[in-house]
Amino acid sequence: MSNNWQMHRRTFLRGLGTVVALPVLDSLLPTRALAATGSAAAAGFPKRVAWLYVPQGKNMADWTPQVVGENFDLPMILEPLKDHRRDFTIITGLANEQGNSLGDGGGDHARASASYLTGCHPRKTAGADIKAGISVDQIAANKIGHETRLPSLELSADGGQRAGSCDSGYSCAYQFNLSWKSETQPMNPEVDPRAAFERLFGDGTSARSKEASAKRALYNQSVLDFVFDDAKRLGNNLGATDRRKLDEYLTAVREIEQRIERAEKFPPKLPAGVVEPEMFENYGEQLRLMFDIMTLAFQTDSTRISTFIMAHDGSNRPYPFIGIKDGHHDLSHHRNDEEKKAKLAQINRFHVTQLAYFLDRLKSVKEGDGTLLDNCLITYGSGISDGNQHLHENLPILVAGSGGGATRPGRHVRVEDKTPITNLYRSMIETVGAETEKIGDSTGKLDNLFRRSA
Amino acid sequence: MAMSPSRAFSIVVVAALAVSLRGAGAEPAVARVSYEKDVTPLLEKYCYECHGNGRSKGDVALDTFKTVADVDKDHATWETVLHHVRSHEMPPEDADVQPTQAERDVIGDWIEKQLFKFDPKNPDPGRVTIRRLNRAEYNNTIRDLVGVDFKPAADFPPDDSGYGFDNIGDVLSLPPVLMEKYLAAADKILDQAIVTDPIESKVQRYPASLAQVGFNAIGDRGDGWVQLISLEEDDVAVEVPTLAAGDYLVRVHAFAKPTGGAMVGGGNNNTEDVKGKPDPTKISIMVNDAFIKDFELSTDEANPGTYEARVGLPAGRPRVRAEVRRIHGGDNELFMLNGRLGKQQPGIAFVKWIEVEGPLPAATRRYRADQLAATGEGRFTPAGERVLEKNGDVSTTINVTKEGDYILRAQAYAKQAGSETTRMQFQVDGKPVKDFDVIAMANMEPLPSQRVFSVTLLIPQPYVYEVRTHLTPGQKKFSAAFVNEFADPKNENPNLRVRNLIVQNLEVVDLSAPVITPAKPAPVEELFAKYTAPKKPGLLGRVFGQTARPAQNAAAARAIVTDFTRRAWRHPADPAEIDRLMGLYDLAEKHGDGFDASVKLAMKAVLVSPHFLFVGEPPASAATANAVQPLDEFTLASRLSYFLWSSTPDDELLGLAEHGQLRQNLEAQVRRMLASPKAHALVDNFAGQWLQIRSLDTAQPDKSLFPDYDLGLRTAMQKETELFFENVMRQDRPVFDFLTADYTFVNGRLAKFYGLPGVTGEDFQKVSLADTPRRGVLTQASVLTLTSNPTRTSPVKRGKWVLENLLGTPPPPPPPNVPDLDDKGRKLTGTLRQQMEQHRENPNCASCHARMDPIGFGLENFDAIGAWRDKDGEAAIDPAGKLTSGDTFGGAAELTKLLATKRRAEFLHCLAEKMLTYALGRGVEYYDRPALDSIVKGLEADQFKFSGLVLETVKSFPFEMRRGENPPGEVASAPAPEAPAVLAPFSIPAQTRAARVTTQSGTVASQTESPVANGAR
Repeated sequence: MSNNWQMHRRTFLRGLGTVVALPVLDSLLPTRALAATGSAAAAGFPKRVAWLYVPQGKNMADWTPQVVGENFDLPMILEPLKDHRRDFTIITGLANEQGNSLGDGGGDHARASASYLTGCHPRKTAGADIKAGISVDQIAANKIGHETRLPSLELSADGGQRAGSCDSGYSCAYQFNLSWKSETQPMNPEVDPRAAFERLFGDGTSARSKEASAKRALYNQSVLDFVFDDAKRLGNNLGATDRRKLDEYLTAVREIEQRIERAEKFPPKLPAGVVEPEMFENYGEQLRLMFDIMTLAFQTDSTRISTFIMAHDGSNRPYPFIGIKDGHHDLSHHRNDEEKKAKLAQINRFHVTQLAYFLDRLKSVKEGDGTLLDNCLITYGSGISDGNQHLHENLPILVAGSGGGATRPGRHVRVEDKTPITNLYRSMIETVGAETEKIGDSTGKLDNLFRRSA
Repeated sequence: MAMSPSRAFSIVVVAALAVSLRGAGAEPAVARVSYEKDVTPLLEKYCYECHGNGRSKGDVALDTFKTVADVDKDHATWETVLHHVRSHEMPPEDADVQPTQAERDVIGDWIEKQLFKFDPKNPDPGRVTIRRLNRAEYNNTIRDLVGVDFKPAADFPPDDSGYGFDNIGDVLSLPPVLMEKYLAAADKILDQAIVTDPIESKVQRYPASLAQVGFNAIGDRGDGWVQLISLEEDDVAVEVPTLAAGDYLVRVHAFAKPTGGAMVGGGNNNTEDVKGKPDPTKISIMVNDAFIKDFELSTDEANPGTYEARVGLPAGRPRVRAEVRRIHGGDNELFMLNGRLGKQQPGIAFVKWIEVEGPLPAATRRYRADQLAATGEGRFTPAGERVLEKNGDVSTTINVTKEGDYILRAQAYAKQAGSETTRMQFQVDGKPVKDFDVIAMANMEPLPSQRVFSVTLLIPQPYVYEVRTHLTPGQKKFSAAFVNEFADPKNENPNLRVRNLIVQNLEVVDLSAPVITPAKPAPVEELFAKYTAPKKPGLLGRVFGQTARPAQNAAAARAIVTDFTRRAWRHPADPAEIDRLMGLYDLAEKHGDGFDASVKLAMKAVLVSPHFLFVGEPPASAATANAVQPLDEFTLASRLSYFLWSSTPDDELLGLAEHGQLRQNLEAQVRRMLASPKAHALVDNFAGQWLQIRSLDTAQPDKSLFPDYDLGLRTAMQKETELFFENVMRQDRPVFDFLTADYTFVNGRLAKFYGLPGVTGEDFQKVSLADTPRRGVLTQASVLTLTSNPTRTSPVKRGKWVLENLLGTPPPPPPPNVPDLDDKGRKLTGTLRQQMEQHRENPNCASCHARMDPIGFGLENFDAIGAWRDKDGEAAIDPAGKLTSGDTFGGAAELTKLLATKRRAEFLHCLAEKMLTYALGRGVEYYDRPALDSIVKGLEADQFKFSGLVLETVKSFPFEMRRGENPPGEVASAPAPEAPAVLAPFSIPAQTRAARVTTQSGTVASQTESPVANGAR
């Protein structure tokens, strides 16, 4: 393991590049998915969805295009995306109402991120009794997660505090997680690119470790068989209430078994020449490394659902490598100081530059006549628009890719003010075959933006 | 839990019961009272004014209950009616007419006897849902069963609570994520208990930008360098998974900028407390809270340094830290700036990564101080540290098998006094090896001029001291001695009055040893030793694969698995279940695993099985599912130990259960268990939830209004209530002490806060409150704080707390759309009391607030963090009041006395109800009323002693008995497919039954004396 570490990240990237160029590429691609019926993959290549989160909104004047429609302009923050302008849609008017105080006082950063994918108003608590809601990615993972090695992949570029109190009496869990498996159970994201890589491709490719992991799977299966049987016998004599408790147990065992089966059914598919990443040198490289990993995850169909916290809401990280020594959060409270607003816009632009890199990578992978990006829907945005006032409406939202033709990118669209952003999510996850009636505060779908799925 | 071979001892009883159940419906009742003819007219006369004829105060309209059938649909309301009528809570004292006692009895008796069918001959024990272990129980169980004490449940999702407690089967759920945690926890626990693979040394590097960073650290400045300054003692911390305890190398990659450091608030110049030429910036490598080594940092950004220290790490997930500490030692310890101890270091440190390599090829053994021999005056702290108060030592004997180099280590800290620093001397066989000046500080008490911001003041800051030495073979005694005792009791600074050496542990590192398998924790070691061939004892652990000779393997494995299963499942497993477990052993062996690893796989299944994870009792068979029957003794043992210890039954309990002798020895066992240190679980889990002090850490008093309130005070408040409860329990005091005790426990900080003279230091001591207005829990700062709002007291919350937790008459939730006190539309004026009286003019609110508010106002002399006050702002406080029952009081002390006298019955009932809820793991129902009455009665006969409360709870019908889904006397309306409606008590396989009945004959005989058996005749 430590040997791999010594290899430089460039080796990893070069490896990736090599793979992309290989003609055997199709063998990496989801033959199983092609064969699957009734899923979103039936049409050909699987569809993927991802959410990329950036904190405390934008300097909105430098984000929102003046022109609505196809001939939209690219303000300063969006300018790095000029080569991709036919591949994304800017949506103006969406809101994250559950991020508002609603009587709970301060804590907009915690609420912004906790409600962003859940559409639910988080419980104000610094204690262990955290509560928000199930997030859109997990709703989708519950429906289609069984079709891939990992139901979903959660990434973050922010380590730091995970327990205790962060923003104005809110548990840190609200700011350092985006994805929620249930209303009380956040999905802790992977912050270490190596750990994320290992989740996708195992901790090594040697025969010995393959054998060891097969043995581990067999042992776990056998243990689960034993306890499943145990629980069934036990249940025979129980009354209805006790049996319900035991049913929870049996259901849980079943789910873990399915997970193990899934891991066996979908063994890691590490493209040849790609090696475990080395430690990154700086923040930009860290972001790009995570984007490489997400690209690999989608390319190899190891998962179809991902979230990435590029920085947590409330982050006060400085950006000295682009000449900004002030903290991001401090700058977001610019009080209309033009100099601070300009610096804030620079930070916003830096993040968009990294997004451009990600779109580049997705487009470099061919899928049929198109690219991997064509089969994705990637939402890039924030749970706050104006960070100075902590506004949760008119959010800066960009959706890249077309979800396999489900939507027509290359536009600036204005939707009715205060349209719940969860309406967008409902449309998004339909493209991966995860229809749902409700996500948090959703009131419908964005039907005029997305074609109804077949 | 589960179908143990002992289950069937109750067969005789069950058979008898079957008869009684059939006859139950025909049982002639007491003199017949008619609801329509006798009860309704009384309700009309005394209750309808508020609860009828279109009025429904508190959402109760009694005239809607026209017939018995109506009443039967809503037992909850009638339980409240019963309670209020019996306690004279209703009609309210200002009602025009009051019923006579005889009239109250007519209503009460009708509800009890005819509605709830309380039948002393055929009581209902209620149904307890099987429940999974909660987090505390899981941790304790693993601690007692496997001897691994690293709180494996710490990352389990939080447990839901019901009825005020987190051990309620109906609300404890088991989502898939928890199952995943159970599997992972079983692996972690057993990997630590039974190490089977040779541990390979490896290098783990953690980027600082992904690590946890201190409060003040700016974090990654963009290129992976995390910057730290010493103002808040910033650190970069990583949790390192260590497969085995041993020696590791910790490396930190860092450099410093020697100037600057004014990072907080922009204007804080660090140089102000550094005189002359600035010292170089230093970084400290630490493990958890212990300091290992300091390094002067390179000041060349182009050439950062890599700094390395050798440390002993425990197995588990120790926290390895690189910290920029303030400058400590000597006078610096007394130097406070910005509420922080020690001098601020100059400069800013930058850290890129932390690397941990190991375990090193050496054998490290750690000895906790309380496992060592000690001489001289001193004591052990609850954490197991040895406090050497006078010259003396702690020592261990080491068996040196071969000549070589060894590292001797001690982790220690000190209290300072006099001109010398506290000195510790390492000795081998009494001969000095090295002396150390122990500057590591004990917790300190802030001086009057000093404010506390940093928690480092309040927790000891141990250092690790070590020496490398050459030892020759033979038995050696390694001791750490305190050699310069000193006291200066008159020193005006309380931190400088005694010199003490406090030793936390000793470590011996055999540098010549190969990497070894760490020893198993004691319970597992004993388990393996019991059934396998003896092996040569080694000094520092054991070599692989010597546990058992192959020929005996299968038999030994079976014996180990059988024994372990019995203890883990809290009852013996069926031979068939052992067969299946041995299938796992065989599977592992077939795959080439060694003996230990194969046994381990079977043990893993044991720890993930529902028999381990669920507590409760399934019936012996579906046939007897609904019968009222005594708990079998194994289940009784579990119920008892999870009640009193929040943990698994020990060998003694299981042994008694096995021989059917637990019931006969119940009282002796309860007393033994209460005397055990494990009974501290009652403080953490029962008192913590009953009195709600667990939630004290969520109280957030406003910092500008209550500057006194900080971590130190909060911790002291919580500790006071815990010690107070523990004292009532350990000294077996009357339960009225909870209300009226004129003593409590304080340390220096809390004594000052309460205005009690003569107590200094961190240690708590018992003090008299006779001359103060404080009495019992109600006037303890913990309770007063958690029942307040951040900026002011809340008489409503305090009143509600008393009604809920001391009197057992919780008020209903407020009706919707009621303006609260701060409502801007309708300005309320005057003192808080006057404002609330205006609020109470709203008739919707009046009836409940009339019960809550007067109690709360009685406590108004205590502010929102429990400090005494005579005035609220400018207005003088009037703590006098009157309860709805008409009883008056002049202030807090009288109020508590009133609760313990005139409201004694309600208090005792409430206490019994809370304890029964906790003991059973289910909510208390109307049919538990006779049981509660009997607990209260028994408690009275026991002179109200705490042990009486516990004993009476344990002896109560619901604790000792069980039933299935349906109450006695009712036929299952929709029988489960597996459960035949007709009782067939003899459906247990004959062959096992015979065996079980004989082994349990003693119990069966004794059971015939039980009330159930009597009722059956």
